[in-house]
Amino acid sequence: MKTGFLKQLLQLDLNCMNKKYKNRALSALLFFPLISVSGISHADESAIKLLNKMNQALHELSYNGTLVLIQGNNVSTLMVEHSVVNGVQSERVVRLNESGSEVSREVKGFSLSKIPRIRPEMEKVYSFDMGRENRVANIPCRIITARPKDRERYLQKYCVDMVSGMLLDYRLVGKSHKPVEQFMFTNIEIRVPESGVSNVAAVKSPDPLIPIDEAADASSSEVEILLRQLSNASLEDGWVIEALPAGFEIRQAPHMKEDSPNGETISKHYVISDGLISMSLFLTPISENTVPLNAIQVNSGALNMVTQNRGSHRITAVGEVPELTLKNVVKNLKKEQP
Amino acid sequence: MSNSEAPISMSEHLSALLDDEAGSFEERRVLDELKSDKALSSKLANYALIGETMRAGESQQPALMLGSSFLDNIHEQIEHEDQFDNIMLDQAQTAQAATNTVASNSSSFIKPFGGFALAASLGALAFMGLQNIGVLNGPTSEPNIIVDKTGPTAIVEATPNASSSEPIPTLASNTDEYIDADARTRSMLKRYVDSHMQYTTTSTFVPSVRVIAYTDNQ
Repeated sequence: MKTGFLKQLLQLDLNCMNKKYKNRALSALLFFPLISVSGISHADESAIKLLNKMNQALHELSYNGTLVLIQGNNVSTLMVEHSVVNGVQSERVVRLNESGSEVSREVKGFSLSKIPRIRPEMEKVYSFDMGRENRVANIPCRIITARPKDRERYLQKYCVDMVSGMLLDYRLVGKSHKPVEQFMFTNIEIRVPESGVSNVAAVKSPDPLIPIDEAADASSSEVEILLRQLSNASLEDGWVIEALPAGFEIRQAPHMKEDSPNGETISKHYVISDGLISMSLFLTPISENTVPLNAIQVNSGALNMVTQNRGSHRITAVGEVPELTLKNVVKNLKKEQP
Repeated sequence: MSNSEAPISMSEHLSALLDDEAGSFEERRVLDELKSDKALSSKLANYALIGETMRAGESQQPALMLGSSFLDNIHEQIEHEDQFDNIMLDQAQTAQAATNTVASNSSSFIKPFGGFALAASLGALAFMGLQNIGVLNGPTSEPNIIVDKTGPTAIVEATPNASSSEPIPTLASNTDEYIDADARTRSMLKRYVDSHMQYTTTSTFVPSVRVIAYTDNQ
């Protein structure tokens, strides 16, 4: 009985095949993205997990090595030392090649610990994907891509040591699919504090490292305290950013004082960030005597800057975003009439 | 007649050092001497100034006039330029700008003159390509990095600290239409970048900027 029913059902199904064919194809088309999304979602989770392991490793691992930093057409070699002793991070970055100088110089500002942690809201504007395996500094690593969902930011590529979580290669890729900035370790020794050596034997540094918290740059947590979150795109003094790209939040930084011929000028500084990359917007009042400076553009690898005088203000946008993003922010900055 | 050559004077050693012809021993000797010999320091300052002026003359760039106390100013200059670096107009960008200019010009010619003008445009393209080697560019081939064309414009470029100190031929620096950026503008831009780096927690890299030139589009 049951078999007959099934046969009838099968026959019916065959008879209706032509009719149903289109529906099935449609169903397949409908289901395929769900399956794919499920797969991507899984890949995203592992990619995000590894990126956050990397972020933790950059703070907790002790390592020293040499990396090549490429910014646009310029290549630098940096020696990076990072150690964690009793939970305190110390770091030293020395530039090894500089204008033919034999004297290496310590570099302030470069810090791998600045690479941010991945937060769930970032998935609205980035797609995090696991890529193929690679090998950097003779260490196998896995490529992870943070692919922006719009053209307002750079694509970011990481190559992370799956074992230690150490970041070995990092690229910011522009719209021409070429890296605008990149660093890559050429050799590295990674040590896991209190649990032995991860890759190679530990090497004692002859010079004491600088505790990160005592370095010239404030630590991330200190900076966060100084920044004031703005609830919307309305800035002070009636300025408003219309059509801010998705995922960006505005926070106000401490004012920047600037000496001018007419006395002290105070620039308002706003930090606009999607969590992975940031730009700054400066609003500086200018006097009538100020030399006209209607448009400036700066480019250094991933960093762009746009300055424009508008009325009684100089508007400056600077950040590690494509120049078009900065131009749009400046263009969309309006002063509301009181 | 003696075969012995006349002893090489310290001035000659100095000259060799500046010409990059001195060996490491000579270098050390001159540098040691410079520490104690004020007259030699002064001579080095003069030689360097002369060399700088001659090089500037060759490249038709304004001479870097640092005065006779050249050596005294070196550290001060380095200090001031600490976060800046050599200016280098992105050749690719400039080439693209030149190409765009020619392309836009050529498109206006295509309609009236057809294929003949197209051939002429292609010729112009090739010519502009040659110009990118360092020949002066005209006012119509301004780089496309200029954002706003409603007023006087400064064209600047930033490079990381580690780039070479040798002057890199740029279209901007070779054109009469550009004037040197003043220290105030450079300082202003540097402060903006520094402040950006200070308050953004996502910036891993170390940018630095230096203004190269202004131009007035009007």
